[in-house]
Amino acid sequence: MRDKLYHFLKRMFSSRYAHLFMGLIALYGVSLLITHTSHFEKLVYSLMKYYYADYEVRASLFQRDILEAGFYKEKYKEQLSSLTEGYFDYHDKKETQAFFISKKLLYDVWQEKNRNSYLLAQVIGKGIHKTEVPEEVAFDYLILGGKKIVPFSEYEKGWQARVFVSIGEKGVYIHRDSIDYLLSWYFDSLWESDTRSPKGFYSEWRGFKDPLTYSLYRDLGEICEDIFQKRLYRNKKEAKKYFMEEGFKVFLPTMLAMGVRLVADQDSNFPSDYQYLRACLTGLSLNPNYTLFYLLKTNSPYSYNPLVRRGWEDFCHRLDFVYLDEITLNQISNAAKDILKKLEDS
Amino acid sequence: MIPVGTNLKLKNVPWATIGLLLANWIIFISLHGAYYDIGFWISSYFFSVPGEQYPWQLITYMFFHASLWHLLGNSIYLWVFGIFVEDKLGWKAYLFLYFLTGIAAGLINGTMVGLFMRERVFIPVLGASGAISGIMGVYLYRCYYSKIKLLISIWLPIRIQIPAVIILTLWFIKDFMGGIDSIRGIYQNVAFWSHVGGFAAGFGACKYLHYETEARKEKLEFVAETTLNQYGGYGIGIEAAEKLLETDPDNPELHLNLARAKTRWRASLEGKEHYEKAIKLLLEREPEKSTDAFIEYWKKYLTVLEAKYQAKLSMLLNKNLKTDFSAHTLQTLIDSDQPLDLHMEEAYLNLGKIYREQLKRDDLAQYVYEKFLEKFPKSKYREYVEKLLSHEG
Repeated sequence: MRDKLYHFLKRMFSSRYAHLFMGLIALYGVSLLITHTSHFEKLVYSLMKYYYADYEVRASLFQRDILEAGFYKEKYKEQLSSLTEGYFDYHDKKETQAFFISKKLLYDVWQEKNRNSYLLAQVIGKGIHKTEVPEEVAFDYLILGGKKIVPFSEYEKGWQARVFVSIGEKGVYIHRDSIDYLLSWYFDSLWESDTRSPKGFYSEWRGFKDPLTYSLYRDLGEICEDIFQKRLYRNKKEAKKYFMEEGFKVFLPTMLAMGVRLVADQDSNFPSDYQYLRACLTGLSLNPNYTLFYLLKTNSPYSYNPLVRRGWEDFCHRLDFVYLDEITLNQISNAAKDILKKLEDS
Repeated sequence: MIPVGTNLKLKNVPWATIGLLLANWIIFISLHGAYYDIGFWISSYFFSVPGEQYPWQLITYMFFHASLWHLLGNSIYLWVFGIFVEDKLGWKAYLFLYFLTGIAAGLINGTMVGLFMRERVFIPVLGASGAISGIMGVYLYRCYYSKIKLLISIWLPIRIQIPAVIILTLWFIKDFMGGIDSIRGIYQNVAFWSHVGGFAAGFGACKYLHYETEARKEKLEFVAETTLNQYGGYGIGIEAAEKLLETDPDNPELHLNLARAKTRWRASLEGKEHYEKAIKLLLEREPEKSTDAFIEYWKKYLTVLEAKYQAKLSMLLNKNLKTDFSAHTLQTLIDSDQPLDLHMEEAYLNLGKIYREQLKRDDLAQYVYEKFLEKFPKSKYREYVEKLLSHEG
């Protein structure tokens, strides 16, 4: 009997099919180790699903979709309740903020179209900014990146609705994601094309320069030169890190200037779209740059923000966009000031 | 481009593939239009979620599909590649590899997501494409010599054939690049690493199981089968068949096909040898087929085989109502200078009987019997033959 069992086991373990099966079990172990998720990761994902289900209820047009999203919302609520039990009460903003700030995440919630809009993002930097516009303004700002939960407007309209700056309970939020994706794309395309001459830093077709890449080139020319002409970095990862960091620094002053206006207008009764337009114009008038000028134009017919679009139309009357080379930072600044003044007067 | 078939021939009914397809379709149809609480329950407990997974989800995720197009696409690929893999491996090894590669696909996808796309670790994965990619990996290893028939598009129904090595390598590269893109943050709602993982697992499993020996043999069989009967370019078929005979010297079909190829334009000595070998082997294994081969041989060579075989074949021909032909081959046998053994004795007696009873040629029967008495004076049938002759007289 023992001999039989021994021979059976020997035969089984010498089978190559059995070896493959054992290999699969080993792979399962490795995968389990790598994909192991902490309670915190589960909690964040659960919170995201719950809030997005809430957004979905708002965004859905048909009754069936609303019912479905409502059903999912309830289910995620149950999951969330069990995950947050003993940690914090997710209905309580202060408790939730305190929990997430200990993990270097900013949590905020505010009213948007009479419903809650949420934000959960990594805090990657912070500081205090002081300036005069002409009244003296000082505020704390947080640089946010790696958004885990986006506000309702961004969820509903996608990347077009991304803002560069917003104001919240903890100060002015600088949304680095909104510019990072563009810097990353620009860097990757230049690195892939192994561009070495300034002509290659932007696209041109029949004498007309592509406004986006040309704007980026005009703002980031020196950084591009360091990386793609002088070849300061051979390693792509290091080069990209340098490009993203230095690139962001170019746009930060404009964003801070936008924040200044948001803080100054905080207690006004202006509608939020109008506040954002005033912030854009202030940013461009105080610290103009080509890329944000191009991005803020939002001249797309699908633009979600009619007020900002109107602001762009005003720019079109003042500047000739056919010859981009001829537009200077001074012109942008002056035009922004003019439009702002016109808006205030009206 | 849509794969619609291959240039291989199916030898058995692919029951396991049919079963897998039925299972996928039954599950899809039964869940179609299901209330969303069932959908929620299924997505929570049956889809593969790398960051929050029960072990059984690594098997169940293969049987669920997101849409009709998802299922239809997978079904086409499973049918095109699965049936031939099942045909070559047999259903047990086929199902073993299907589930092994499907599970490996889920695990490799999970591992890549966990390492490089942490933010997607809770996104569920579903569909049989990982397992099917595994079967495609097995197909590439085992049927590398075949060609895939592709439809350019549904709207442009032009069919082209491309070597499996090229098309499957391109598919793999495409999925790999998709995987790299997903690491770079460009998502297409496709679990590319599941495809890459499944394919690599299928290919690697074949390597570990040493399937190359069978694959090489099958390639030679395929080349021999498809080219030996052609009018041109059958040289590679002859080469393949000769190589196959080195490992399988008693394959009658191969000998017969080689004989036919080698006597296509003239009756060669090599062809004769293959005919003789094929006829002898067929006579032992499938006697009914041996007569057709013998007729072919006879028409080309008109040369007697050893008495043992020729006598047996002649009687088989007679049984098949080819009486004249049977009498002719027996007559040639007794006229030959073969040694006078028991088989020759039997040939005389049978020929006499055919002349006497079936062809009603008593004169010829008498001639055969007289010759018999002359050649076999001490035969135990002597008395019987003498009796017949006295009756004739």
